Amino acid sequence: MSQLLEIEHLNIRFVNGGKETEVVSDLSLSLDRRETLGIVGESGSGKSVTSLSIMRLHPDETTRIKGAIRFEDKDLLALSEREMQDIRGNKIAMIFQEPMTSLNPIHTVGKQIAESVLLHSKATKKEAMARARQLLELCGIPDPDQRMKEYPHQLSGGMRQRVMIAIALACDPELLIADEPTTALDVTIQAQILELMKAIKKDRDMSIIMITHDLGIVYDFCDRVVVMYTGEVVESAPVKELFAAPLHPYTEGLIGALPRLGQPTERLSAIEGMVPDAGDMPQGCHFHPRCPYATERCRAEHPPLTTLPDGRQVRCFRGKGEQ
Amino acid sequence: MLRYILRRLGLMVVLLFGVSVLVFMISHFVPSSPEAANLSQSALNDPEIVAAYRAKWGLDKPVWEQYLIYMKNILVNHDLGTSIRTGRPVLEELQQYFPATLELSVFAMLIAIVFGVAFGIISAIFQNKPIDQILRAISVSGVSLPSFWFSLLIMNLFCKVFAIFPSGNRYDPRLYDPTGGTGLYVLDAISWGNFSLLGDVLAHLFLPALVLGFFTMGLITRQTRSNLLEVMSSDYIRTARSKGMSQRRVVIHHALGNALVPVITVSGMGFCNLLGGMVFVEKIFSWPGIGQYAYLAAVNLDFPAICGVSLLIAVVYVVVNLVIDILYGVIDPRIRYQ
Repeated sequence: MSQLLEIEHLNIRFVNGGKETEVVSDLSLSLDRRETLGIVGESGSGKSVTSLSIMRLHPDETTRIKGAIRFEDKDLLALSEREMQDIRGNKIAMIFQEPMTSLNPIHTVGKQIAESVLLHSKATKKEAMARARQLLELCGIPDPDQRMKEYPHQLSGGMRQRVMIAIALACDPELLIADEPTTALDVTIQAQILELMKAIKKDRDMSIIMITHDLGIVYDFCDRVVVMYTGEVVESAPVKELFAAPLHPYTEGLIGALPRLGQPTERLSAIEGMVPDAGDMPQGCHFHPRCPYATERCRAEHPPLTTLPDGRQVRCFRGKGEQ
Repeated sequence: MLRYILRRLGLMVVLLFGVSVLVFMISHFVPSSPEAANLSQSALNDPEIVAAYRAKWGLDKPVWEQYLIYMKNILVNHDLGTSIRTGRPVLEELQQYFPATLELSVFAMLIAIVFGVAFGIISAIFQNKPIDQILRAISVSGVSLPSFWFSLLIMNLFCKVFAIFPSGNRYDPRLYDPTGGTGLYVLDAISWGNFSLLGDVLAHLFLPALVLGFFTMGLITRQTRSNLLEVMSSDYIRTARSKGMSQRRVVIHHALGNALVPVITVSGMGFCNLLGGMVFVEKIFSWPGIGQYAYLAAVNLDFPAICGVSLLIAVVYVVVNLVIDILYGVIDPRIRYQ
């Protein structure tokens, strides 16, 4: 079995007071070894919560999770906290969105990288520091010896994100989850970080989940993509096929909203309307109020996620078999 | 770092100069006269005696001249003047009373910091659980109970009702004579290897130190709890957890250091507050320290003593603040490199 990660019928609810809000419903997806999966969606679509729940980093008291997250045939949701600690940072590592605040301000960069190595191996402190230096170099940080001794506030955002990547790579994880790793960075720095991640992907036997709202990154970086809307998968397909022929009107809208070089446009097109509030979901298809193709059926009935003969999945009455 | 410390020391000199001027002026402009406070009624009726008294203590000279003489005596002769009340050199008296106060305040701070930080951590970890509620009750009483009332309560309870602790003084004079050391009896007892004296000194020290440190402990508990809770929800704590660390390690290695920076500020404020509470506590526990000395100096309008005590407390204040600023730099690199 080559599948590294399999999420089955994942259901995540936030509890606030006595009120429960469903933020991810019946999400199933799988990830092969060495595959790069993009998860795309607007803010509030449940993509970050999903990634945090794979790491079991969601707040326990306010989150209810059902379903299974199988990693190397172990259900992560059923593991004890102690067993989970052996997996975090070791087998599954994560890069976060905010490099400015994701590093501890009172520890040196070297210490923060070496710490991961020390946690999961029998390396001595000296060996761990040597490994940290090597990782900094790998992540394209100039003058690593000097940087090792510096504190996060002495580094730029791009440099900090490189440090975050170095921390994530410290134990050669099987799975790397990148939660919007470039969102908080300048465009030029974004490109550099993405180049670095591509180089890492090429060199290592690693699966990657790239969570983003940027379809450009998905096109550039991923093998397969899952599009999420209001906590549900609405479409899942190999990247090239998705861009060539999006099946779901939401995906179509997202691709249509991308600016294209060489094609003069007066206005960028946008998807009309707003993402509905999690506590106030429309009847029927969640996307129907914004959908240009919506019919009576869409308003009344919630479409199931359908797998097409070519393996693509779509949650739309219209897309099924028509393409 | 060294330059930073030197700059702070320079500022300290300026500050102390300001304090000396203020203290001297304020104590001379209070609407009361030292002769009225110190001479008998019959002597006061004799203008010659009053004039002689004023001349003897330099009170007939203009205030600025008095100040210059005072400063010259301090800086050149290391002389803080002679106490009007006792007739002894003020410096000598401060040297006699200060160790008692130093010992008391250091122990009060130790109690405040050790229990305050520990309670704060426990409260944060068991947020809204019963133990958090209990500790909240303790810390809120700490910051809200008036210290004179609390002193009396504690003293009555532990010295009289349960009679576990001795009350008054720093040791039992019937059993021990700890003179001849540094005046810091805990240290003296340890260096002499006299452990029964050590026990006696600690037993005398415990209640006043507890009462004195109680307010600061409450302050530190509240501050540690809220900071730790805030820090625990920050992004870098999530990063630390994503590395596969145990919760305990996350708290100790990643959260605590960050949470303690504001706690240091509060400890500094608490220490200064403690110097103020000293007068009550020393009076109630008959602790022969600076607080009692200051009280007696004030009621007798003993100017040299008042100025001496004020200057001493100002020096302590400034030194404590310097230490706090240096501690910031040690804990938080962002401050160190500014």
